[in-house]
Amino acid sequence: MKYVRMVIDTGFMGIPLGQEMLQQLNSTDLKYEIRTLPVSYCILWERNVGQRTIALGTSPTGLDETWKRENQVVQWLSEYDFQKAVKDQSLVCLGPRLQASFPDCQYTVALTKLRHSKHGSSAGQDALIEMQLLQKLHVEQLNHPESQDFLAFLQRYTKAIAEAPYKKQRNETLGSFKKYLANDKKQCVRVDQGNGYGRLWQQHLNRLPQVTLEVAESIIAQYPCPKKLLDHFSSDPMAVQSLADLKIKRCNGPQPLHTERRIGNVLSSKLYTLYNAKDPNTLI
Amino acid sequence: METRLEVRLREPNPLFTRWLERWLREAERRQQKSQFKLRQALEALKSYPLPLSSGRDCSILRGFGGTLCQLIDEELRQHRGLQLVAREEAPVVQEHYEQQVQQVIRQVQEHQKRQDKKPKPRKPTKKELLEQAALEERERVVEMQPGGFQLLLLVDTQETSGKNKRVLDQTRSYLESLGARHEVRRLTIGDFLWIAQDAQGNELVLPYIVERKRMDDLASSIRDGRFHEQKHRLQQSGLENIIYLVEDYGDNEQLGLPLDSLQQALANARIQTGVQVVRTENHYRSMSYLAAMSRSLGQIFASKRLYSVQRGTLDKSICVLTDSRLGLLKFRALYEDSAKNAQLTVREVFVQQLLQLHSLSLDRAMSIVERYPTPRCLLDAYAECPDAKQAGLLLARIPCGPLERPLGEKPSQCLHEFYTTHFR
Repeated sequence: MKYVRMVIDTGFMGIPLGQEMLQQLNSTDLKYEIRTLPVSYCILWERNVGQRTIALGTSPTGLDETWKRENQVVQWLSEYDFQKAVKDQSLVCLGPRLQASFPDCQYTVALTKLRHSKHGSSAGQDALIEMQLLQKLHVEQLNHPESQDFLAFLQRYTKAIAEAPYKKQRNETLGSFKKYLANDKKQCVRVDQGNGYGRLWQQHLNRLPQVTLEVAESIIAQYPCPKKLLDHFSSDPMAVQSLADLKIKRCNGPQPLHTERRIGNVLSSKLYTLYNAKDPNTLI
Repeated sequence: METRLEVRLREPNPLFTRWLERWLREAERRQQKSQFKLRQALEALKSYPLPLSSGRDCSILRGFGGTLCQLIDEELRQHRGLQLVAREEAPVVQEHYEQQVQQVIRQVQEHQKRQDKKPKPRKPTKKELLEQAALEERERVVEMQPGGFQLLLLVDTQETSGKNKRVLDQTRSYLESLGARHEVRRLTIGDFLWIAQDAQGNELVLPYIVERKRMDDLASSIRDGRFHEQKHRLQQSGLENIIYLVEDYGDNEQLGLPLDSLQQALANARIQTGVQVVRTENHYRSMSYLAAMSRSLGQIFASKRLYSVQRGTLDKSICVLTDSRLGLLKFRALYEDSAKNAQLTVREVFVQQLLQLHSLSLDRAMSIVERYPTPRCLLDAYAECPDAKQAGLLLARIPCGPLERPLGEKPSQCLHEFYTTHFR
């Protein structure tokens, strides 16, 4: 957050919402600058990329920091302006105007929350939908009190923008995985001089969705370590079949409606695939 | 495998046949009465498959009276130069016949051998036929002209928070009361989709996918990690515009996570993933939004020409505003691809297994999997090491994370011991 700052259009200073917002902004530690932007009531973000260029004259330290523009733009639209644009159908110009002044960005329009008509839909609602569908604008509807809500919204955006590069890297690696991985940390096993391998083995087996507690225990009873299971697979030509026939010991004792007392062919072949496939993209 | 061969001599009695033909021609020329009998005899001889060694043997055939048989024998005598070896010839003739049969057998066997060497064109199995048909279906290009298709909102059968029938019924009744044409279907991705249907039954998916999340759902999915997985799957779908329809849960008080965290997660989704976020107060308002979206989409797409594309060639930026011709995915293709995406791969399970070890962080686990993508690869690598000591250190030097720190000896040895020793 230290490296990102907001750039706020001077127009905000002239409206009550803006003034309130700026007041509250000062009591946070968000960095910002006020500038006159090509489109009124817009907010941009810039990131400090750390380079320093020699300033001519103005800077007290003699060096200027380089700020790089981020690709997010927020445009605030007053209720009045919005309703007017709906009536004269000039909303369609909103997107192109923003694109012209700030090319290749993602644009968010912030406006006061629309009042819902009793019939469920209104020109305002439809206009917002069209903005989203046709112009690909994001829409944020602000609750009362607006200035507070707007500020909170800007804070969230600033945080998201600040963390974006780090998250992007992480998401690229994580993204290809179906289950979010970092969560599992709470259950992981500490292995201390050979103790804990047993539990580790059980947790390994549990990674397969089909493996319940009883199933895991039954497998471990027969194959208390991975090596035993691997040896079984490599030595026995009917390994998958004999594993499939392995009986599951049910904690509850024999029950009248008993369907699966075996590990089963499906799980058995999944285990076989897991420990013998060389292609990492093999589906389990 | 044994094959039954039927061997027939084409001309079992060439000599006798010639003679009879000659005599027949003479008889015809001279208009003799004998021609009729001769003709009969000739036919019978031609039909007879076995070789006959003498005129006497011919008597078994129709039309061969005593005179004719004698004539043949006479001719035979002359032919042989006055040497009539009636009985003794039979075995020779028989032998000759046998030789010929053997020859035929040999030829057939050789022919069969040649056939076996050539791969026989197999008739495609039923499964193969189905696969072929599916592939053709995928590749066939579908075109839809403006006015030639209708839009339909698809509602996932499982879409509801709480996943019970009552809520699904509520969804449907709301949509019906709002006049939104929809159909409930099993979707492998997303809660709501729009398709363009033509008269032939082709279905193309509009580039919008809606995931409805009530605030309590959102909270629990963030806590157990489903949120990221789902976001990723939505991104992989090939549908450009992802919309999270986030519905309030009462006054959003008891959600399991602070409201602020949820709002931050939504902001992150917008900025980092490019997802559209739409907030609504309740179920009815959510459906109202969908109905309005259906209407807008109907208007926007009415004048468009649509054609099918495959996911690999999907143009990243469809501009619905300006393009008059739009490339869209086929519903079936999307359905099947997304279903596949939901399955686990060996790599994923392996990473999850590695993470179970406390000393392995995500970075470390990822580095290991980069080099040994499956357990089998790692085990084979262990087997190839000259001794156990080396195997224990196999992973120690692997650089991990942005700072490229080595994995370390301890985790490396730990894994080796875990996989290769009988610790119990």
